[in-house]
Amino acid sequence: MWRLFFSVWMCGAVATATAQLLPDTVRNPWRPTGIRFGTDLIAFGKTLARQPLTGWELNADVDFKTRYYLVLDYGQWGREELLTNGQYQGSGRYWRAGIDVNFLLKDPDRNMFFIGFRVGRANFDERLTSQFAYEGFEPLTITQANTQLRATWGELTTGLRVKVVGGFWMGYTARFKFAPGVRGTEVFDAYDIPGYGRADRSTYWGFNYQVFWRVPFGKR
Amino acid sequence: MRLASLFFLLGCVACLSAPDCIPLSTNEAGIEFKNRSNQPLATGIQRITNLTSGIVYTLTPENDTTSYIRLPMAPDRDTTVLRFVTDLGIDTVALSYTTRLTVVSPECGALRNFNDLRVINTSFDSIRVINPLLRSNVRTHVEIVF
Repeated sequence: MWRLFFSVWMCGAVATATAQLLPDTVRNPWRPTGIRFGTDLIAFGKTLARQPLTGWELNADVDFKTRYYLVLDYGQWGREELLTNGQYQGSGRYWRAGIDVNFLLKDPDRNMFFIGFRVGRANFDERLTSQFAYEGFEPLTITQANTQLRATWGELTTGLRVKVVGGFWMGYTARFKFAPGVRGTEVFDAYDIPGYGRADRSTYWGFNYQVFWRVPFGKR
Repeated sequence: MRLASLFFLLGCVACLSAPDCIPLSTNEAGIEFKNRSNQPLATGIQRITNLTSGIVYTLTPENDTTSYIRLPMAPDRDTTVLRFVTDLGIDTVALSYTTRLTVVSPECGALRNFNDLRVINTSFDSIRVINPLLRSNVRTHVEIVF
């Protein structure tokens, strides 16, 4: 009887000790181990180089169930183009939300190669001034504005996240953007969707070169 | 490998959507005169006046008998009234339309499309819009039947 009681007690003690040694994610795989904040260096580069496109983008992702990452991007995007017969200005804010699936599950540093999906949404304004010449009539200058436009689109993504040192990470994200839809274009056809690109293109490529800082949740 | 092929294919699809830089937008409407058998009807035109802009069009003696003519709509208005003085009489027609701007690209600039052409008033017995979008590659927009 004492031997049975001792065996059960020993099993319980070993199980408890094992549970205390296991990380939280093993006990609860849905519990995130950290959050990563980042930004896009290409957007900063374009802004500094005074390209027609200016803006910034912030990124954040958080892991759950080891393989999956919940991703949120938020940014501002402005475009100023000189046309052959006028000038276009557009600016607005956008966000993207989605899931990345990591395929490097055994990497001890949590480096990741991922494929993911995003839903994007933008709110923006546009202004267009253009000149037209019609035979027999006076030249015409027209200025029009689209205000409070809303756009949505989808994205397939792939990329890398590599731990450089400590909490500092670098990586890139390639984006295949598709199915843009714009609402509110009552005056002229939308030209440039912040976060997406040319509104008249049903598909578009995007690329971000990013730096991150990862903040772990508790000691791992 | 299959995944790489998929992304290469998607890249090719994205590159195929280059902007079209052939401007087809115009403010000219093609008007065709026809008889009741739906055949072109050569009509002697003495004078056409754009009552909206005040422009008078007179045809040269060599081509003053024709079944087809292209006339510009007033670009700064949403309605153009035309008065036809022909061998068959004097008639007027008021045509309305909407305009919409589209930016094609920095190199191609912005286009102004004339759309939704409609007859809002006329003294012609029979007139109809057969193509409401004014494009330079479309021959006939309005048919007048005598």
